[in-house]
This record gives sequence, C-alpha cells and structure tokens, in this order.
Amino acid sequence: MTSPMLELTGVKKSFGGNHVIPGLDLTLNAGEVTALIGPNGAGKTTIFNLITGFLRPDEGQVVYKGENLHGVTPEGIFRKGLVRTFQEVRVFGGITVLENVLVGREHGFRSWRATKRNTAAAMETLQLVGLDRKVHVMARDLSYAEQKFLSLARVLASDAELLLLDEPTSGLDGRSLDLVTALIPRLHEMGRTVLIIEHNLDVVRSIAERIVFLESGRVIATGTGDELFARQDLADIYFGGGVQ
Amino acid sequence: MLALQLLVNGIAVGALYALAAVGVALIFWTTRVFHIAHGATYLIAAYTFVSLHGNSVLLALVGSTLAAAVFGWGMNKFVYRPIQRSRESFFTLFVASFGTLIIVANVISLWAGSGPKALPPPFGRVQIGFLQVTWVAIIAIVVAVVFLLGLQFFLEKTETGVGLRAMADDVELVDLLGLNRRRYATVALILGSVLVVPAAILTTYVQGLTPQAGLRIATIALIVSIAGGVGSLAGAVVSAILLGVVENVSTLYVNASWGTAVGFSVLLAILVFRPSGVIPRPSAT
Amino acid sequence: MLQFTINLLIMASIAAIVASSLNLLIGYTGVFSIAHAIFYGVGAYATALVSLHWGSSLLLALVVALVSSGVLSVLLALPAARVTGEYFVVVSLAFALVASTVFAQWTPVTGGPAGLVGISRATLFGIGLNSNESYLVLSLALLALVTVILYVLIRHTPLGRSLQALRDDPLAAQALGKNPFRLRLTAVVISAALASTGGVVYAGYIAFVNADGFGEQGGVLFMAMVILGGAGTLSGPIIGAFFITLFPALLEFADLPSQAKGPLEQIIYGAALVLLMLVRPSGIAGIFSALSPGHWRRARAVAGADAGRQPVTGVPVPGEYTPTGGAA
Repeated sequence: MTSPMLELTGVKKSFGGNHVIPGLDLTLNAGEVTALIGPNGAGKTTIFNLITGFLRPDEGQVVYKGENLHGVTPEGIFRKGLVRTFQEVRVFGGITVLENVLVGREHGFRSWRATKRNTAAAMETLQLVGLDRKVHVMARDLSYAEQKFLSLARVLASDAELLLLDEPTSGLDGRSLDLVTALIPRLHEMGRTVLIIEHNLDVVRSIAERIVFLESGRVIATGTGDELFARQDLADIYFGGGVQ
Repeated sequence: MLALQLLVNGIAVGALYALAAVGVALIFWTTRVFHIAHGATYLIAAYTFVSLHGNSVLLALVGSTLAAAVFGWGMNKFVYRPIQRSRESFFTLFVASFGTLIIVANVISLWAGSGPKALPPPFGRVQIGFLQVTWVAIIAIVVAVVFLLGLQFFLEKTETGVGLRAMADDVELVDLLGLNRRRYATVALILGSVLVVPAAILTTYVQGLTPQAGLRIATIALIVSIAGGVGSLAGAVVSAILLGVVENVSTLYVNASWGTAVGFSVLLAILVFRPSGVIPRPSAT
Repeated sequence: MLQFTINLLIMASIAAIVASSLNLLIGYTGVFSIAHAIFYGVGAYATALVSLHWGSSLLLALVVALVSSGVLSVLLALPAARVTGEYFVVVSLAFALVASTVFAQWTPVTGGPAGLVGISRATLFGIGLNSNESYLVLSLALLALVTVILYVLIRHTPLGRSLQALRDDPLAAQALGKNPFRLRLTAVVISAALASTGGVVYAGYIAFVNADGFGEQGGVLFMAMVILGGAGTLSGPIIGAFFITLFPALLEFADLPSQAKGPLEQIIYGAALVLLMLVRPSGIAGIFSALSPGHWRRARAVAGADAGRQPVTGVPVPGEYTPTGGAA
C-alpha cells in the first residue's frame, strides 16, 4: 500500500478551554472520496480549517504527501495542492463568473501570458457545472444555487489534487442537487482525492467510498456506507436519540 | 533635570490624551464606528468653554459638558444609527463621521475665526524638589486619574458598565445575551463625549485652541486606542501616556515641531510589530 | 476668463489623477487609505528637486517621482500587512500626520515651511511646455494614460482579478492561493507611484511647492473625491475630482468675504459626504448606475453590502491565522 495522501495524527484544538477537537487521527488515501459526517458541532468545519491552515492545531500534526504543514499559510497550503470550499457561499461578488474561476488558476507572473489557456480551462469547468452561459455575469447577480456551483467550479478549475468540499449541497434541491451529486464521482474519475462534509445522507451513500463518523471532535467509526448505515448506535447519535 | 521635567509634562499631556482615547474606545465597542467626530466633540466643548468662561467658569463647565453630551447623543441618533439601519460598511460610517468633523470644524472657524484662541494661564507654577511643574499639569494628571478610576468603577460595579465591557468582547454575544445594543450605544456616545470635556478644557489652557485641533486630537485618540489593543482601556491609557512622553522627551533631541510625528512613528512601529496592541485582551473564542 | 477655466481644468485633472490612483486601493483592493496626498506630495517635491538640481526634463522628473514614491509607499504598506480594513484607515491617517510634519520641517530637503521656489516648467523631448495650454494638454494626457493603465490592470490582468477577489472576500482569496500581504503591498506601491505623477504636473505648473495640501487635509480631500464620485468605478473618482475642484469655483462668483470662502467650501463638501453616506453610499457614479442599470454595473462593486461582508476584526488574535497576511 502506498503512503497516505493526508495524515492527521493526534491533532488537538480548543477554544477558550473548550476542547473542540480533543485528539484526532485521520488518513486519506489518494484517489478516494471520503465523507466526513456527524451531528452539528462535531467539529467538521474546524477540521477543514485545521487542514487548510486557517487554524493551527494546539498539538499534533497534519502531514500532506509526507510534508508537515505546520506553520504553512493558507495560500501556501493551496500551492501545495489542497483546495477547499466554504460552507457559506463565498464568491467574489464584484467580478464576473469567468474571472472568479480564473482567480484560482492564476498565480505569479507567468500566468500573465497564459490567459488564453487559463480561460479555456475555466470555460471547460464552467460547462461542467452548467454556468457556461453566464460567464460574463457578475457573481453577485447569480442565484444562490449558481453561486454554489461557482464556488465548486473555482476549486475544480484549480489544479489541486486534494479537494475539501464543505457541504456542497446545502441549500440545494431538485436538479441542482442532482448536478452536484453527479459531479463528485466525475472528480474521482479525474483522479482527484476528495474529502467532503455532507449532511444529506443519500448523497453520502451514493458518492462516498469511505465514511468517517465524527462526534465531539473524535472519530467514532470508519467504514463503507453499507457498514455504517446499518449501525443503530450511530443513527442514535446522528439523529439525537433515534427519533428518526 | 530637564529630562525629568519633560517626563512630567509628557505624562500630563498623555493623561489628557488618555481621556480622549477612552471615549473613542468605549464608542467603538458599542457602535463599531471609528468615531473621528470625537474631534468635533472636543472642539464644541473647548469653544463653548472659551466663549462662556468670561461670565463664569462654573457656567462654562456646565455649558461645555452639556454641549458635548448633546452632540454625542445626536451623532448616534441622526448619523450612525440611520446608516447602520441600512447595513452599511464601516467605511461608510467612518466617512460620515469624518464629514461631520469637517462641518463642525469649519462652522466654528466661520463663527469664531480660524486663528488660535488662548485662555489666561490661571495658576502659575509650583516648585517640587528640582522640578518646576505647572499647576495645570498637576491638575491634568489628577483629573485624568479621577475620571479614569471613576470610569473603571463604573465599568466594573454597575450593570450598564458590565454590559458595556461585554460589548468590547463580542457584539454578537451581546445580541445573544439580549443586551440592548442601541441603548448601550447611546450611553457610550454620551459618556465618551463627556469624558473628552476635561481634556478639551485643560489642553486649551496648555496649548491654546484652533479649529484644526479637532482632527489632531481625534487622530491621536484613535491611533492610541488601536495601538493599545482594541478593547483594552488600560492599553489605550498606556499608549496615550507613551505618546505624551515621547512627544515631550524627544524635544531633547529634535525640534519641538517633530514631537507628535516622532510619537506617532513609535505607535505605528508598535502596530507593525505587535499588531494586537500594547496590552492585548485574551481572545474570547 | 479663459485662463481661469484652463487653471481649473488643470487642477481638476491633477486631482483626478491622484483620486483615480487612490481608487485602485479603496475601490479595487479594499484598502482604505487617507494617506494618499503624501505620494502626490512626494511627486511634487521630487519634481521640484529635479528641476532645481538636474534640469527640467519631464521624463526624468517622472522617473524620480515614480521610484521615490513607490519606495516610500512600502512604509505605509507594512502596517497594511498586519492591520486591515477599518484599522488601516486610522493607521493611514497617523501616517499622513507624520508625513506632513516631514514635509513642513525637513528644511534641508523640502525647504521647510517656506517650501521650494523657482521650479521651471517641464520640457518634453526638447520642447518646453511653457504655456498654460500645454500644461492642460499634459495633465489631460496623463489622466488619460493613468486611466488606461488602471483599466487594463483591473480588467485584463491576473493581478487585477486577484486584487478584486481579495477585496470581495479575503478568506476565500487566501484559500485560492492569494497572499494578501503581497497583493496589498503591490497595490499600494502601484497606486502611490501613479499618484505621484499628479504631483509632477502640479509642481511644474505652480512653480512652487510647500507642505500645504500634502498632509492629512489633502488626504481627506482625495478620499472624498473617490467616495463622492463612486469607489470601484473608473469614472467615479474622475467625476468626484472635477466636482470637488470645480464646485468651489462657483463660490468665486458669489459675493462673500474672502476668509469665509475656504470654510464654506469645506462645509459644503463635508455636508455632501455625510448626506451621501446617509442616502447613497455608492457615490455619484452610483446614482448614474441607478438611472441606467447594466451600463454602469460595476458601480456597486465596493459600496454597500459587499464591503460590509468583510470580517469584522482586522487586528489578528494572537495564535490564530488571520486573513491579514502575516502569521501572528
């Protein structure tokens, strides 16, 4: 077996004496789609912040492809090949859809001469999420669902290998939901590694190869969808006492 | 010996800056506005005092306190709150505050002229050991200490004070706890404006008064309260005194006209190297 | 009357050059600076010194102005690295106060309160620009050049896109690999250098430079031009600059005691600022955009909801990484 793509060992984080992550071990293998699930307040988004450098672990380490990420800035982590989305839509409202996507592809002076190539790649991604007819629209004029797609397009168009997606389907339904659900397996086909926070268990079941179940900042179960969804104890935790 | 003398003068000037700065800090906690119109409050208080003090000093004191309080209250009611209601950005509020300062400073120079005004130095000097200290400097220090202790007492022992301190930490927390933000903003604006009155009067005795003093004192109050660590009154007081001392002691080495620039440079350097301020608060989250 | 008009147009164009440069920070990067008159001043003093010591070449004056203001602006950008948004406004104000002291008191270089006199009109490719008309052409040409540079930078370069991304959402920009410190630094340097060219024209035109207008008072005026005209639009600062420069000229025709004119001007634009903030914070250009939707659509890029979405805190909490660019 090859070495894991991302490895968290003994990661701890507390805020004002409140141990949000009391000690976490987590491994992601290259090319896998892993879902992070758990009740609200389980620390899922905090884990994303710890991995991507927006927060620093109090203890423990985050190792990406054999390299310790301690002290690396968020932008530095992006350049190593990790990219994330945020739970809330965070599009750049004052520039166009196309420009939003370009931002994630253009780094350094060399990109000044590669606008044509970058634009072609951006257009391809926008087509993938169905925004190719709106490339010149201001991002703030998009609907909520479209902004959600745009956030996805931005990270897809970057050349990052590991994608961290924070609730990509929240607030979506119907066709939009289907679009995102169909998109994630395609990322997998493109050889990208995905860690996804998701509340919609139908989506989780259909896309995740491996599921990590969190509660109060600890991993309490890991396995395939079939394994975990069969367990009543997890359902009780997830749905708060098995009301379901 | 001169150095010691300058140190005492510096502390006196710094104590007056501190009075202006704590007002700005209080107002920032509750409204999230950089209240640069504090400079207008200063001008209103000082010019009211100057124009009334020929009649009676007591009347002048009451008059300038009232004028400052009413202006602070009106600022909140007629400028900040309407803008906040439409959920505008901090910069919108800041620009409105700045605009108000410009209006007030120029209305005053239309009315009273743009030249300097001075008050007759009332008390002379006193000899303490080797030092010659002006009575005004001593009064400034005493008044500042009394007002700052009074503020401290108010913030710790009264319900309103405790609420105000809670707002320094986290505005959203305040909403959660059901404290009434609007009422606290009103209290902070009035209280902060009244605190600038002694600073305005005593500084006028020491340095005289021009319509340009408003922007200067407001900038000092703002930079001092930020360099001190936002939310930390002690930090604001310490950096205000630091500014006063540096301004005065630096005249040993450079021309007096460089004083404020040297003091500001020190505070700017502090901000670059210690962006959380002289005395940062422990983080709440 | 013609000379009066030409004079006004030159002054308005110079102001528009500085305001447009400042707009790169306020409108497109989300850095709120009131210190920009400094770099205008640096350009003016640089031109004066070049003229007094090395001759009247316009190109030499421009190069010296661009380089010296660009280098000096790094000093302003350093706090911008650590202190963002609302806090930076105050830092820039303090910076402006320091700079105006330097202008007024550093006598060996700036001539102190008396200033520098005897600056000659510039020569370009051996042609002396001696008439006021030629300076009008020069100032308009420079304004056009600055506007084109800004347009290309903002609309057609990766840097421009990155700056606007940073303005709209610093956290998301960081997550997409943008280094906020480096971007803010770049924007401050470019913006300061462009603003200094306004000073080059000013010094040659007036033939005299002293500290007036280059400190915090001037800085506020340029900020007002950007805000009144409409930040985040190319036309806004130009409209604002012409408005603020030309409007007081109307007072010249009113029958007022001369010492009342200055304060009255200031009261008018102070009141304009307050009223505009109460009614329509996107500026005069924003009013046009309301009249013709779509055409001026970028008008609302900064004012209002977008700027308000920025994180409340600008000063980092110790131990946490914040979007200000420096690890605490």
